[in-house]
Amino acid sequence: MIITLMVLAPLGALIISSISGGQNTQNASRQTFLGTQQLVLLGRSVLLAVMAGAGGTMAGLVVGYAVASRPANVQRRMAIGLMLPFSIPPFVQALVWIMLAQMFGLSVHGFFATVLVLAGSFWPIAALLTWIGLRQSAVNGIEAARMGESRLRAFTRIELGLIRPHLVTAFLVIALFSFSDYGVPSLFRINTYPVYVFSQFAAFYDLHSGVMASWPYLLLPLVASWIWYRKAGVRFIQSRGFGFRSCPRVFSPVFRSIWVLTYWAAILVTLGLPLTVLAIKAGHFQTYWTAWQTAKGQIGMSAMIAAASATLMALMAFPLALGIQGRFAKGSQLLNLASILPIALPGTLFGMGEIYLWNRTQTHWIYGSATVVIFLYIARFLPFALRPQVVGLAQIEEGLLDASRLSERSSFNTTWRIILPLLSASIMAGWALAFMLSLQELTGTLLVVPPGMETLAVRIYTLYHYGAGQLVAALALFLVALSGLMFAVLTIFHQWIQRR
Amino acid sequence: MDTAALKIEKLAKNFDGRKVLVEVGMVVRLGECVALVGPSGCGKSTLLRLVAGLDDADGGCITINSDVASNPRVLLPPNRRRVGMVFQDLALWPHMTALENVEFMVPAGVRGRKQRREKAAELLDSVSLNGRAESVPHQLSRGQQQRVAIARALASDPVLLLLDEPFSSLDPELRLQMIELVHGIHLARRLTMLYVTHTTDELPRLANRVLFLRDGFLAEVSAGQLPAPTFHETH
Repeated sequence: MIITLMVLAPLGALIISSISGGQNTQNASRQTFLGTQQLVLLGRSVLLAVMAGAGGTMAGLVVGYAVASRPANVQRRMAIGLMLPFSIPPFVQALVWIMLAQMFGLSVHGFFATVLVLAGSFWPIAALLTWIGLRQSAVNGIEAARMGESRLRAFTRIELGLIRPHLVTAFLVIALFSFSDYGVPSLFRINTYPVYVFSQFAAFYDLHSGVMASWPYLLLPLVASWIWYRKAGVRFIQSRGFGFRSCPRVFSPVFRSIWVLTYWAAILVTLGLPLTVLAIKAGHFQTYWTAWQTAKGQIGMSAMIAAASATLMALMAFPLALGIQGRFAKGSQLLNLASILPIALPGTLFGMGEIYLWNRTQTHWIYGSATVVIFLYIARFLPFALRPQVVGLAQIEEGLLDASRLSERSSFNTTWRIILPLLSASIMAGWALAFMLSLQELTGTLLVVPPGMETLAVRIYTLYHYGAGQLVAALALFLVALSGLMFAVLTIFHQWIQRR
Repeated sequence: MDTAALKIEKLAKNFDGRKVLVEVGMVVRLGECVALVGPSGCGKSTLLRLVAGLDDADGGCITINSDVASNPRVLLPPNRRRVGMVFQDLALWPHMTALENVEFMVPAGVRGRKQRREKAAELLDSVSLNGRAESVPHQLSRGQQQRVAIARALASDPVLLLLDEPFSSLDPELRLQMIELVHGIHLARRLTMLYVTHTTDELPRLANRVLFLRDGFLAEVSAGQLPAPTFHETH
């Protein structure tokens, strides 16, 4: 019911409208599927996604391996470091590189710059998944491989083999994020498919063309989700065993200093450098004061909407996760697949769906208020709040839940006292992820945000186009600080819970 | 008068088409301690889980204390079977103290948090663990964790106590202590017990009878006959 209302209803309404538009639909579909321009754009976007996916996965593999190669007591701190670059959204990374180039009188617009920035924004996904995969893999198996194989063969056949589901997942996630990203290519002035779709809808308000052009958005991610589910999903979800232990990797003793250098270089380029460039660009303290004065409404609005959305997502995700983890229950597999799908869909599509569904006289109280933005974020990011809970539930020892089934307590009591506390870290992780993504969302918000309720991300994007570089840099730092602050609070809270 | 605490008739269980239990039948009388032995993967733990209601049988009937717990028409949930269980990996809830672990299993009939906690404390005392009531599982030694698991299994006033390999992964000294503890509980409470084991040295001390499970069939043997029993299939 929840998924249907929040996710499938806007998309469903959109699809029905696209195929029931008569002559308009025929023209639009002819243009979309047969037009040379669209096919070229589609090809370019797929190429961009594959290159960014491959680049991001390669970089993430190296850095994730570097983390897994370090002693167990250092790994946790390094892993936290891997999450910090997420506080800078891709479109801000793009702004940083544009600003940096301008400082040296250069221009960085173009296809490869877009690939590099997208790969540079999403590599921590691959790094974290690599690290998690290596931690979950049996150390004994790797040591056994080393008894009879060369280092290279043990690495390629055994270590990489063990984390293949994680690498496939990383590649698909990064490729899909890159395929559907609007902010980075539009800032780098590259005409990709998402830019085309956005302009069809935002500039010409041509719903039929916009929706018809969105079909590849639906089909490609569907195929990707199916590949993931068949090739990686089950093994990925069912992985168990999550202790911090020392894992001597095949190459860890060989390139010890190189691993450490790689890690710090990656953090420096994607976190240290952007923050430095933004700080230099913002300049004097007065800029921050001006930025605060002009955008404190947007900052407050962004934080409130993101927090409300993330909280609702965490609440809605819990019963869904329980349903998905009831592995033998009818429909749980379908529910699982349905819950993964929205990850692959772009903000433009959700934005158009929300507009189509709620832009009516009877529902103006939704469309004309922040509620529509919250609905958009829930529809788009619910899977991100849900997945940690599903994985968290899968990782709870089965015996712990079996033991609770022998108690005479009510199922509410068992859920409240046993399952929820065991799942608290996963719920918090999902909440933090949903909060951060909601705070940084740009594409869908640009379409649906009601007048006077601009979010911080939208404010930064629009101000950049007015040429207010200093103000943009200061506001981008506020955005990063807000994400970082929430991240710090949650890390401390999580450590406090762990200590208890 | 029927003195059977547990009666199993023609119990069957398949996993992915593989027959794990084939029309197994057995009776455990009130106050008896029965050991279930057999090679790894023969279905010992599965049998225990079917009795506890944690898995569903594919056929047959389980009666606990004269109440039908499972047959083709009836399926009692685990919390209504009046069984306690000590899991092989103990399955202590890591976020709860020893006292809370035990208190959670105290029957709903015991009203009031104070009464439940008192009962839990008594049980911890009975397994010589009252001094560590406020410790969470990871602060306890393996032996202490085992005592908490036993106290928790007793908290629901079970008519039947199931123990899944309770003495595996313990060092010899701790094994002896635990065997004595379980033996003491059996004598003091006259509690019916069914326990799974793959070792045989504790059998003479603890078990009134020994059942051997292999290839899905059950046979009664004497401890001296192990590990090469003569089969008298009971089904």
